[in-house]
Amino acid sequence: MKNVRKQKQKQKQNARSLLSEFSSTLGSETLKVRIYRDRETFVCERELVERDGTSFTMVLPFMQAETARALLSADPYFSRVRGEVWRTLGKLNKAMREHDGKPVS
Amino acid sequence: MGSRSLEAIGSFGDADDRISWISGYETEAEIEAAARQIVEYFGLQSFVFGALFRSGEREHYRYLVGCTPEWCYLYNQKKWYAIDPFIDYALKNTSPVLASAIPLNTAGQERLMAEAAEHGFRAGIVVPAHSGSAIRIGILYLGTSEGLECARESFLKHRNLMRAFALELLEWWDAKLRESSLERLDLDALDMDLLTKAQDHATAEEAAHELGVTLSRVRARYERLTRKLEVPNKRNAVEKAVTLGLIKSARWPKVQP
Repeated sequence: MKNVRKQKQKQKQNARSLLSEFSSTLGSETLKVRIYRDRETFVCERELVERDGTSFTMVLPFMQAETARALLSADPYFSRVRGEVWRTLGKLNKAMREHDGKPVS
Repeated sequence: MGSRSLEAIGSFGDADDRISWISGYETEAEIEAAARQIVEYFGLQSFVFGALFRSGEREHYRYLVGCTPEWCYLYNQKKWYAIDPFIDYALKNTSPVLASAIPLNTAGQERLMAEAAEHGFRAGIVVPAHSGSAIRIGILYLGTSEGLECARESFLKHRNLMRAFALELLEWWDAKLRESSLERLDLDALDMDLLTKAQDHATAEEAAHELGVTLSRVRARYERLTRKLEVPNKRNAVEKAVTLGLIKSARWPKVQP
C-alpha cells in the first residue's frame, strides 16, 4: 500500500503540469493551445481539430517565453485569437517568474 | 535539461550513443535538443518528426517541430497531410529514402514540394518508423536548404543511424503517450492486465481466475474502466486503450496445440 502511494506521489511529481490553455472555434475548425511545464522545461502544443475529428498537433518545446510568443503570433489564426493568446502568454510569464524563484526539481 | 545533451557530437560513436540515450530522456525539450545535434551531425539543418495514428475513422497527426514553425502552419493550413507523398510512402515502406526518389503525382504535391524547398527542405530524406501498434507510425523528415547533393551524401553516410534515430523517436513518443494516458486516467497494473485479458477475449470469470482476483472485483474494474475511458463497453475500452498506447494492437497469432 505504501509502495502504491509512493508510486503515485512520484507520478505526480513527474507529471507535466498544464500552465495555461485556450480553445477557440473558428468556423468548422477548433484551435486548441496548451502550454505545459515539464520538469524545468516548457512545451507548447497547438492543435487544430477539423470538423471530421482529424487533428493536427504541433509540439514545440521551449525554454524562453519569447519562443512561445513567436510561435503563437505567427499562427495564421492569430488575428482571430489575439486576446486568448495574450492571456495564455500572460499566464506563462507569471508561471515562469514564479518558477525562477524556486529551485529546479 | 540533462548535461549529456550539451556535448557536441563529433563522431559516429557519439551519434550512436546520443540516439541510444533517447529512451532515457524525460521531456520533449531534451528530445528536441538531442535531435537538433543529431541532425547537425548528419550535415542537415531541419527536421520534423511526426507520429500519425488512427482512432476509428479519425486521423491524428502530432509533429515535433525542428524547423521554422511557419512551414508547419502552412502545411496544416493547406491540409497537405492529406496528399503528402511521404506519408503515403511511410505507410507502405520501412526503408529510409531520399525524398527526391518518391514520385510526385499531382499538381498539389508539386506545390507542396515547392513550398517545402522555401522552408528549409530543398532536399531531404524520409525515414519511416513502424511501432508495435499497427495504428501508429512515425515519419522523420530530414531537410537541407543546400540541395540534393548534400542530402544524398548524408543519406549514403548515415542511412542506418537515421533509421535507428526515427525508431527511437517513435518509441519514446509511444512511451510518453502511454505514461501520460496512465497518469491522466489513473490506471494501475490490474487495469492493464484486465484490458489485455479483454483483448484476448477472456470472459470476466476467466480473467478473475487467471489473475487471482474475485469476480466481483473484475466486474467493478471493467465498469470503472469503461467509465474512465468514456466508452460503452469492454470491446470499445480495448480499442480506446490501443489508441491511447496503453496496450499493443497487433498480436502474433497463438500457436494451436
